[in-house]
Amino acid sequence: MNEKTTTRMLWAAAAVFLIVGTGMTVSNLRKSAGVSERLEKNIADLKTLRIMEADMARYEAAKKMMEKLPDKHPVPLNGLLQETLPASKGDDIRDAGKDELGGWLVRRKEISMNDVPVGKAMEFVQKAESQKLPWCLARCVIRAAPRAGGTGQVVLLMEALEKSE
Amino acid sequence: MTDLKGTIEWMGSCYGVDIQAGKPVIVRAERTRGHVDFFPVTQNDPVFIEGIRSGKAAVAGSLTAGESFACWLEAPFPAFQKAVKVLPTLLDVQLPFPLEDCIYSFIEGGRDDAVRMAGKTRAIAVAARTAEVQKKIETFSAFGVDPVVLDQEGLAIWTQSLAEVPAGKNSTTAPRVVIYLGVERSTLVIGRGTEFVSAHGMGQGNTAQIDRLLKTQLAAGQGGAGIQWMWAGPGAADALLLKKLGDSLYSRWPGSSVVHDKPETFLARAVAGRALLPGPLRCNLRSGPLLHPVIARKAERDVASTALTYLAAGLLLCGINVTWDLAVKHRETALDKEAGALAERLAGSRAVSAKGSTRLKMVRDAMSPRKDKMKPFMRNFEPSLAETIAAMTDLARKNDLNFEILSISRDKINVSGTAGNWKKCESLKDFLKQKGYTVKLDRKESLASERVAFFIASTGEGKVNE
Repeated sequence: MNEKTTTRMLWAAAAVFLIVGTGMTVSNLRKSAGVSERLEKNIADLKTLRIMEADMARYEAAKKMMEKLPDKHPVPLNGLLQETLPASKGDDIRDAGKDELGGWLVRRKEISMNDVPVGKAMEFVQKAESQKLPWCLARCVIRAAPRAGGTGQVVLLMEALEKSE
Repeated sequence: MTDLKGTIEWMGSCYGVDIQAGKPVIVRAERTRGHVDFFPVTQNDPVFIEGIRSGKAAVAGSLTAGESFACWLEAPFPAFQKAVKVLPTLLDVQLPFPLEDCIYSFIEGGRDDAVRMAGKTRAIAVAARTAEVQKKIETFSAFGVDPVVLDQEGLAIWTQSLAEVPAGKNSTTAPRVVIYLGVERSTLVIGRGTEFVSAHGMGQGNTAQIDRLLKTQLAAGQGGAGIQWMWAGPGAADALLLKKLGDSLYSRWPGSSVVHDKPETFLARAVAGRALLPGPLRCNLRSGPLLHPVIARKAERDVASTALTYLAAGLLLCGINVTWDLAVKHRETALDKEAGALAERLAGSRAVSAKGSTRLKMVRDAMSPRKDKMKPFMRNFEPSLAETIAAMTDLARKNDLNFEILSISRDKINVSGTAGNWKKCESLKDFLKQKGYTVKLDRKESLASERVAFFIASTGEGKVNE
């Protein structure tokens, strides 16, 4: 193979690679917008999944913390109610149902009180919610007494978790 | 691609050879940092002999003004690239022999404003009959030398004279006459300022011919300026000969006279220097069918090197594209793999095969019942509804709002009551909106007390539960 043939082959190879390279460049440039969009969407999906994972982790962490608590049963509401509102009666509190939750029970109690200071009722809620195995206010209806400022009828729905025996 | 403009720039050194009366005058030229140094060499110099024998030493020679010629042509095109297409025809008209028997080249002339304004191009045609070039090569061969470059003597003398004794700054049109006095012949080169006009071969010391040529070439437009006489060649070392010629010429053509340094090696220096350095009026009459193999090989190497550069560029282009393609695929796969693994952790293996929004929906659907089961645990760590009640009652106190019924649960807040005016109701509406609820405010009939009765129904998760 003489020098001229080598040069010709070099030119031919150069032409082939330049044409192929240019073709690939044009094709990639055309694709680039779509690729960029696809990558951005994939990144956004991944971010959403990570947010979901973090959200789930919060729920699981909350369950774990509850499981670590030494108390198995929430404190009875009667005692707390007597402490805060001595005039209230035990029959103001009634069972409002319970749900089974894999080793746990969600217990509900409805408390109806007439002509009570709303501030006191809220104090009772605060006390119930700050127990080690806490109660949680799920619903509250307050009807103000017509002429007695700050008092009225208060109906509370309290929920608490309880470890199943 | 053999247009190397007469130079062998890629070489660092060469020999310049001027054959005078059957004897070669040789100089070795070495280029260092754009400057050429010359060293006289004898024919028997062992380095010269070895260089010639091995073919490593390049030799530059010249065709005399009698064996070749250089003349001005004018083409009716402003661009040289266009003009060069008609220049061969213009040259052919002036030749007494067929152009096909010649080796020729064209050098773009100076940028003469008047010519340019007229939309023309001036060029110097350098030519020699192929037979003369062949004969010159054979003359050199007799000394065991194969010249790579065969310059045109007139142009070589002119540029070397200007290189060694530059034209004065104020003498752009001053006539300069360079007379190269050989052993058996002379060459007369005429120019103005730095511009070459013509070159003529003649017998030794033929003053009548010089006078006649100067009359035709310089008489018009001399403008009384004195001629700068330049002397070179072996004859210039002969003071008696110079005096004799000067006495004859200076009376009719007065001016200054300068003898070039080392006049005997002047032409050898000229051809060697021109071969190594680029510059104006470069030419090589050893071209076309008589092109030296060294130049032909260099041209081929240059072509191969250019092809290699293009090949490298092509390969690089392909490489960049393939790399980009692979990088994109790799990134997509990595993202998909990570998202798949995360989806599998959150929703089980079902979600791995799905993509995009379908995968997200599957994960959301799978998580939803699990989250519902864990909501009671989460609520213990969320702000209490009692805090919202406290904030609302505080707002009521500050804005003259009386709540009659307040009903609040995790996804709904309803309030009915009275306000001092409508604006006060708006404050409660804004508060609930800020909390993230969708709020609907209804105004009722004004009461006898002129207070505004209102009812607010708001729904949503609210920030209470976050």
